[in-house]
Amino acid sequence: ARRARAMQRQGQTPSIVDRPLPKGRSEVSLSAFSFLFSELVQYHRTRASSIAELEQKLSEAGEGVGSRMLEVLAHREKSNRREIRLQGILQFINTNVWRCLFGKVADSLEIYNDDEYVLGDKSLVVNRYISVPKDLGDLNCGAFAAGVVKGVLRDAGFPAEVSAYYAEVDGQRTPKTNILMKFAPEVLEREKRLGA
Amino acid sequence: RERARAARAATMAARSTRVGGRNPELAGQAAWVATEKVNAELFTLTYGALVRQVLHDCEDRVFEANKKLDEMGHAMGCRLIEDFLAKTNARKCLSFKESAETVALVGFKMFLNLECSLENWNDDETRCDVRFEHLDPFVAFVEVPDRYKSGDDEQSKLKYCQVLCGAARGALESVGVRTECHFVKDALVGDPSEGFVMRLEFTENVEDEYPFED
Repeated sequence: ARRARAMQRQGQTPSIVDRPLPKGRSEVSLSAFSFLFSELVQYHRTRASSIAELEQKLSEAGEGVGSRMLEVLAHREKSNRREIRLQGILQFINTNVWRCLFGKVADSLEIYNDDEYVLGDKSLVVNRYISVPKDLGDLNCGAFAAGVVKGVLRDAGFPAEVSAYYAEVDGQRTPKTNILMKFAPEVLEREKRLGA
Repeated sequence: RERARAARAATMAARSTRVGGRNPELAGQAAWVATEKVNAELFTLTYGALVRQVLHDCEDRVFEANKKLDEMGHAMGCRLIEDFLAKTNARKCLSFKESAETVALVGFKMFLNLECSLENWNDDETRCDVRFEHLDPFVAFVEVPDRYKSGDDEQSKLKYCQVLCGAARGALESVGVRTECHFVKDALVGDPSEGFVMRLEFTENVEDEYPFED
């Protein structure tokens, strides 16, 4: 901020990285976001030739969000400390990323296999007002959230294949959204090298 | 104390809209307080992802991208008008000035928590400028690359916030008012000290179409 003011005094326009980082406490209405997200889905729906491609496009959109959130949150909430262990980055996503973007921590984080972890959310914000017509079958717009996770993991150095799927939960009317992360072999090798 | 203040604002707004009094700022504030909210950064980054993808698909043809963003905004506006009418007790606007105030002071406030003011009205009150204090839900973190903001032709500059104009246009059209809407001052591609100013201009009333021949 000081640099921005100094530049302004000299008559130069401060670039965006010289301006102070927003505190992240501002809000918009859920409706506004839902309409925006639905428009994003509609846009890709007309252009994609298959459900897989549609989910891929949503995931790509999410990756952009995730990659930027990692930078913002690392600076704002973690004093630029970098996560180098798998558990660390998973906790970061589970807690910091979810709390910032969706207002609460994720509901569960489980391990399925050595290389597969699953993050669960009972009512993902992006899926709140989405209803999938029959001709789109298996589509899960949580692919956007999967993209967010993928973006964070990729930029933090933990490349993974990430996808979203629904899981029925006993006693709950709407299914829970699970985000499956399958890590690349080099991530697991590095974990082994750094010690259990 | 916050809750008491919010409750007071809500009753005052309800009273002002019920009795037929016009206080759009209060109505907007009350509607904003009552609505469910999400983090603005989620909105900002999602919108950024959308613009990036549209630009990519249009292969950097800015004119096409601007048009697409406007169309998307228009579609959103046509749908969110229902949400707006359901959540506010808004009565029918009797003049374009009332319509513009409703859009800017109630609509923009309740959906995006945007503070703005209407100025520069022309003599027959068919055109005004909406000056925004800030457009953070759209432009926080955003810097438009030089290749999208250079050139003398206004059409070759990226209209990053065009979705907002499209939404205003779509919502108004859905209630029978056709307008022209675009940013005359855009801090992202022009002079940052001039802020964001949107021009809203009345074109014509939309006649109700009867679905059958009489």
